[in-house]
Order: sequence, then structure tokens, then C-alpha cells
Amino acid sequence: MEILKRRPAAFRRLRILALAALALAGATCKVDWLYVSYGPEWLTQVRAGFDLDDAMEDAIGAAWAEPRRVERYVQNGQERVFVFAETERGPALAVLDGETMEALKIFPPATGPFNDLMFQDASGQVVVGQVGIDSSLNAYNVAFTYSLAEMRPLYGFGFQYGTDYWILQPDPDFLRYYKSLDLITAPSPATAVDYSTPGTFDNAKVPDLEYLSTAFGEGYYVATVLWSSGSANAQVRFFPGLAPPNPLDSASFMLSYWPSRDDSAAWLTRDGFIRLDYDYDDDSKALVRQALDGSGAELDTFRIEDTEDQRFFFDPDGRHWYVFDRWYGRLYLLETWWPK
Amino acid sequence: MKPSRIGAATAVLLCLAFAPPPLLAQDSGDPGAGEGSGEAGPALRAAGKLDETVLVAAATAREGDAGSFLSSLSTAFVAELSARGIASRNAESPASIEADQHEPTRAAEFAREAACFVVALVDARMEGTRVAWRIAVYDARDGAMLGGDAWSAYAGLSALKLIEDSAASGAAELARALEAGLPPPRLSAPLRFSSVDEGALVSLGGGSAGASLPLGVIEDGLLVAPYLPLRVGERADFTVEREGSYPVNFTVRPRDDGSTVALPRLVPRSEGSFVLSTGRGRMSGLGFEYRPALVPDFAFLRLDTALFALARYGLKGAPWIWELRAGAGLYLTPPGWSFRLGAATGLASMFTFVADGKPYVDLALDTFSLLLEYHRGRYAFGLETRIPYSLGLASGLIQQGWMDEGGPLILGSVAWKY
Repeated sequence: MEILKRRPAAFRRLRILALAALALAGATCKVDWLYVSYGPEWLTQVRAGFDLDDAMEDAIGAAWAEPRRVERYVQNGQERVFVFAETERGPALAVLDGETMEALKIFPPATGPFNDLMFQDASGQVVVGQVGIDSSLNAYNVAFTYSLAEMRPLYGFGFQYGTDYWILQPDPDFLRYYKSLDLITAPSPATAVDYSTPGTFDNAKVPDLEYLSTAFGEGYYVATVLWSSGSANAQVRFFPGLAPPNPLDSASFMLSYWPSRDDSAAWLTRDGFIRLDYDYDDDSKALVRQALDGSGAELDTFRIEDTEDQRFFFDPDGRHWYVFDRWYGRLYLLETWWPK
Repeated sequence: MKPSRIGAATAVLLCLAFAPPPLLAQDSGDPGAGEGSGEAGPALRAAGKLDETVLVAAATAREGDAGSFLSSLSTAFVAELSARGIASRNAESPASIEADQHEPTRAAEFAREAACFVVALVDARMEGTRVAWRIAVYDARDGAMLGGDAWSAYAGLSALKLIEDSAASGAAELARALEAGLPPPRLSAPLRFSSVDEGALVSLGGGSAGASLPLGVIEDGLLVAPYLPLRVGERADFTVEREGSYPVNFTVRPRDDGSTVALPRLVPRSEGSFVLSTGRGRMSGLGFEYRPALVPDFAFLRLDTALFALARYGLKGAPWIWELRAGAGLYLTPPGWSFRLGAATGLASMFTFVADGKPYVDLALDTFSLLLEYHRGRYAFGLETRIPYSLGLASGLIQQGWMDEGGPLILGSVAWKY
């Protein structure tokens, strides 16, 4: 028997529309669509967290702490996250488990001095400022990271190249490099190479060295920010090698971008260059990923709601990134949003 | 009737008047049958309405002049049917069929013997010096008359012309009826209703149809209604109702195949409901809502709690969110409808636990929620879309503003009503 229910035609249309909408939603449904966050979007990427404020308060009695550099290294087969932080008591270092973000050891300022110079040498020890941390998390002094000639700690980007140790350091006029044969001998002499030879960077200053990475490729990516009166320019260049003399213009141009006044607004990873983008038109912020193949093509974006109370860090391997919540003093480990 | 057709028919009639009538109706393939046959036949065939073979049943026990006139009438009627492309055949008269029976009954008897349902009863008899004749075509399934003609005249040769006209008139009327389609037959058996709503009263009519005629109540899931002379396939309105439920009006197109009418489930009146929900942004978790009615099945309060993880990469390390929501809403469609539309508003607080840390606390106005629910018995299956507005508490993670940048928040739910 056929039953016709007495209902208005409009209602039957509504039912059809509802079913059509469901079918459409089902057909177009993606997992990402289901896992949306109604807070900050990065919340969906969180894998672990570390309460830096609490840890520093417990360890050294510091009322506040803020990370300046976050790097991931492998020691003893374990991935570890090294967090160099400014605290109320001075620069300190926290070493965390790379997966759970549980603290493995907190190094108080007295162990230092620490600064944002951070790299790992071929033996696996991690240099942070003037301190070396071996795989057993023992600390010892590193003389190489202190310039006897200028009587000041070195900073910037360090790495081991062949058997030599190098540090690239931006100065007001130059991009200097320092070279040493080992970690316990002070560099002799402290050498400076003018990377601002005539050409692209003619008469420009190199006041800032954003970040450098040796974690991928054969060579070194360097991001430089050039400030001049009333304008600014930032570029990423690729050095295939570092045999001096090695002027900046000899490097391959990868991309240029408009730098942010925020000195933690651009990062280099294996999967691309990432910068914090602010759209004044709709007051939106996003992390934009650009290709490092020379095209500078925009690969994707990730929406960010707040940047005032947050700081971001990226692992060069492109697998993880970090959000530091300044309000609560917590550092979160996150998956990167792009397909691996 | 056109002259050429009249002439041909007259000639045929004169020849056939002294010959026994044919057992089967002739096809109208003869070009001499006239223009009319060439027009009506294809049109009817194209319409697919020539399936019905007409059984022509001439009256028995007519002898002498009456027999001759009856033979002429039968022959002329068969010829007219053939000219219109209507198949026919002559009936054999079973002994069981009595001549003085009620005509529809006789037609039904003939139909049963011949396994057809369009029956033409043809008769002619002498009344003094006059001859009276009659053609009556019945739908033997329900006795409905489909066409016919009757007349009388002085019993002479002039009557043949009038008989011929009568045959043409009766055939034309039948052709029109067939062209329009035969009315469906009436049901041969009482309607049967099945329902899961034990004790529900089923009535004919009701709703916008006005007064209703109670047919009975559902017992053991079934009601055999008193016989209703409904035609097969024709709309008939019914009402099913039960105390504690909302009445439902529905329409049936009955079939005469003995099948049972499955009644729509009644929607019970409810005082509130308990709701389980999940949805977009909270796939790894559940919400539990208590929804007491302020006005039964119309206005309600909402007290909702939900716990879920943002487990895009698995539960390990994923942030957890505990939401508490309070609000009120109302339904915009009648309570008896299976599909119901509703709207609600309220206030929501969200506690976000990230990596074992102290929770972030956010507060949002749940400004507008749209509910679409399918109600079935005590259960309802719903979709809800929410547009919260975050107040941007300093203790929270969510900035002030509409929480729709990631797209609409859509929840799916199952409710049990009490």
C-alpha cells in the first residue's frame, strides 16, 4: 500500500534539502574538516607540553621564563629538545624528552653562560652559548664560543664543517665568521669576512641573521634581514659551501620576503621557509610556508589567532614546531600541518 | 455517422441478417469499413487502452423476428466495435445464467465464465408490432456501466437503420469510456492496518478532512477494518491516534492485493529528553544533555556537558576540552511531525586541558543554535549547528569574536524522550 502523509510541500522540500546536504557533507567530508578547533587552530596539532614557568620556578626559583631558542637534537638515540630561556634569574637551559616534553634536566644560570648560539657537533654534544652538553647531560665550558680578541661571548649560528667549528655572527656591518679547530681552543684569530660585498647588498647592513639551518641539503641556508632608512628587505640565500672568501652575493638566491619587526617571525625548515604573515585588511595572521626551490612559491598557510601572547619555533627537519604560551608560560610540541 | 459508413454497414447488416452471427468479432482491417474506423482504432491502440476485449452476450430464447433483429443488433455492434479498433468476441451462454437476472449480475456471470471484464449485453424483443432493443456494456468487476443504448421502433426494415445507429452510439460511448480509462475496481476485501502503536485508534477521515469514522483499534499490531467500498488506488484519508501521542493524518492509495497498510508511528508526547551528541571538532568525545520541557514538545531548557579530545593524531598528548552549556530553545514545527526544526540560545564555558597543565577557561555566548531532528517513537536523531561568540577571557585560549573561523560547529545527536 502506498501511504501519503499529509504534509506541506515546503516541508517535503526541506527534508529533501536536508538529505541532500547530508549527502554532500558525507561526500566531501575530510578528516581535517572533522578535527577543527574552535580555539586557536594550533591546538589540534598539540602532541605534548612543558610548563616552563613551573619548571624554572621549581628549579631555580625564577618567577618567569621565556624561551629564546628551541632546538631538537638526537643524543644517545633519544630525541631531545634544548630550550634556551631567559628567566628572572638569568639565562638557563632546559633539556626535554623530544616526544613527551618531560624535563630531563634543568641547567641553572650558574652552569652558563648560555646564549642563543646552539649547535651539535659530530660527537653528539650540544653547544649552548659557552656550555657544552654531552649525551649524559653533563655540562662543561666551551672556550671557543668566547672571543678573547673582543672579550665577549659569540652568538649567532654555529656548526661543524668538516673537522672545523664555525660560527656565523651578524654584526652591524658584517656577517662575521669565526673558525676553530676544536671546542676548547679560543678562535685564533677571530676573523671577520665582509659578506656585504658590492652587488645585491651594496651599502646595506646585515643587522640581523634570522636563522640558519644545516639540517638538510648539502650546504647552508641563511636568512638575512637588511634594514635601511625607511625600508627593509629580507632574503634567504643558499651557500653550497663555506670556503672563504665567500661573499654573500655568491650564494644562491632562494626567496625574498617582507620582514617583520618581530625578530621571531621567520623560520627555515627542510620543507620550506615559514614566515608570520599579518593581513591588515582583515586583521588576520597566518604562518605562510614558501618553497625553498628558488621559486619562493607559497605552499600553504596556517591560521594563527594570537601572536602577542605566543612565540613560535620550528624544527629544521620540518616534523615539529613549538608554541610558547607567554601568558601561562607553557611550551607545546606540535605536529607540523603539512603532509610529510 | 458518415454516409459511406452507413452504406457499408447496411450492406453488411442485410447480408448478416440471415446468417448466424460470428463467434469472434472481426478486426477492422477492411478498408471498406469507413473513415471512422481508420481514425479511432490507431488512436486507441496508441493510447494503450485496447487491452480490454469486449464480450458480446446476446440474449437467448429470441426467435422469429426478435431473433433476426437481435442478430442484426449484435452484428452491427460488433462491426462498430471493430471499426473503432476494439476487440470483441461473442459469448457462449452458460445454462447457469438466467435471462431475468439483474443485468450487472448477469454481466459478472458472463465475465467469470469468459475470464474478461467488459461485457456487452445485447437484447431485442417484439412488443406487439414494435421491436425494442437494448445494448448495455458493463465493467463486470464492479457493475459500473460503461455505455449503452436502447430504442424501439416499428418492426420493419426501417428499424434496421435505427438499430444500426444504436449500435454505433453504444460502441462510441464504450470507446469514449475505454479511451478515458476504466475506473479502478472497488476493494474486494477489508483493509488491514499494521502498527507498532498498540491500542491506537484508526479512523477514516479526520484531520483537514473533518469528521472521522472510527474503524477500530490496533490489537496485536493489527487492525482489520470494516469493509470500505474504496476504489483501488484512490486516495483515502485516515487518522491514527492514541492517548499520550500526537494524532497523525495520512493518506492511503489502497491496493487490492491483500497487503497490509503499515501505519506511521505515533509521536509520543514528552516532558523532556536526554541527548547524547558528538560532532565536528569533537569526534573523540561525547556530550550529554538534559533537556527538560518548559512547554511539552515546544519550549525546553538545555543543560549540556561534553568531554572530547582534539585527537587528530591520536589521543596521546591530545588536548581535552570539557564544555558546560546552559540555555533554552523551542521547536518551530508541530510536535506531531517526524522532522522538527528548532532554535536555541545559551551560554557555554570551555575548560581546555593541554598537556596535563592547568586548564584554560573560556566563556562563550551560544548565541544561536539551529536544530533539525527526526523523531521516531521515543527517539530523536538530530543535527545541530552552533554559532558561539567567545567573550575572550584572559584565562582562555579563544579570542573575543565569533567562533566560526574554522567553519560551522555541527553536532549529531541521539535523544531519548520521556
